[in-house]
Amino acid sequence: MRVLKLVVWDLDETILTGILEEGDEEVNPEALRIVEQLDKRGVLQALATQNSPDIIPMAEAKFDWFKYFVHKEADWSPKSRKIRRILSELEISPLDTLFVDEDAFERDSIVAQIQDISAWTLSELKSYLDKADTSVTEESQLRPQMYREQKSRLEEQNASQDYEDFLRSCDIEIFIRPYEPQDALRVEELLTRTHRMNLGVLPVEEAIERLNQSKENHVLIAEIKDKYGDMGRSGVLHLRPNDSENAAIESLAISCRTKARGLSLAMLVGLLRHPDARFQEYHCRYIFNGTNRPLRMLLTAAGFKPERGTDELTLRAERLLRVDLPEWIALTYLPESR
Amino acid sequence: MNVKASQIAEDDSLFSTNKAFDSFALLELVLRLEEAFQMNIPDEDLDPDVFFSINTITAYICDKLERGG
Repeated sequence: MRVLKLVVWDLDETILTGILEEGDEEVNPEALRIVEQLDKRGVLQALATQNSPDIIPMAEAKFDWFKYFVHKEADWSPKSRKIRRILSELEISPLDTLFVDEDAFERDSIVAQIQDISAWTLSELKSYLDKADTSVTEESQLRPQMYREQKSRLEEQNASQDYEDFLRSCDIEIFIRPYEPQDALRVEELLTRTHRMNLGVLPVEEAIERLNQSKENHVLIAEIKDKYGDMGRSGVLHLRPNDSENAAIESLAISCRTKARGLSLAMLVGLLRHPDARFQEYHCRYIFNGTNRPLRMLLTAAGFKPERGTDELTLRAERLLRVDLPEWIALTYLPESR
Repeated sequence: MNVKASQIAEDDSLFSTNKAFDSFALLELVLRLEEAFQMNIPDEDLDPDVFFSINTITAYICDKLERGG
């Protein structure tokens, strides 16, 4: 397992002590404690159960703890298919996903069918949590809530007649400001957990060390909010000046939840146009890490040109100024955190 | 997106004309081009001047096909 982003739970004889269909509604207190603990840590949780789909509205009405699951799949299809739907809906890799089931056959079956997923018992998950680092950023703690807000956003979007009208109604705001010491944990989280929009040229430890080193380094943070909620600190850019005119991008990470609506481009352009980052030329190296092709596209969209025969790209500032930002995004530069 | 193909002029900048054509739309476009023309578009060809407009993309694809994809 790479980073624990999602836990998919079995229901009968895992969260419940018995089988729901047989009338056994008693919850396993240890399982419930773990569910609550995971939610506080910002780990998303979903449910995949061999039960009639009718149980979902029933359980939502009856069990308060059902609210912790951001996605629920209940039907008679193979469990592996349900889990794949969950991964697809939440856009989370099996590498960052844990399946919990007290039945060894089920665990082994899922691992055999879904490459890279982990499958543990309750007791193994408890041991992991007991040993895991407990420091959690505010953004992480709110992650499950943000996914529920994202669902509302998508439901409204689907109902909207005109996508651009819908975007304008979202009141999307991006705030760009200099890095502050209290951002350290969130920046480390962004550099560790972001895969698709992460330059990732440096190992995370080295990236953090370089970021903290010289006063001349320019580190900028992007925060996002819209009418559905505050997504908090969603992007980081670390520039290392080569001289007064040129800078190298040492680190760049943009949270994947911003993938829709042109936000990623607006964030990157906003970061590079910050008054602290007014260079004539920007250079970066791009190395494919298996999942960060979206970032390569983002760099193209911002105007970065590849240097043939190398893994380097260059952006001239005048080109950056020509990038139009969508009118449905308000960009504000702040001198410090909100 | 509610933009018809007929609304995009061949020389229009894709990123300016349709501001919801973002980097993920570019990724999807590149993947579809690779599939449709049975070619690989390497990262070093992901140049903003190539993927600027319908005309520049067309010229790139034609050139690549002539050179054997």
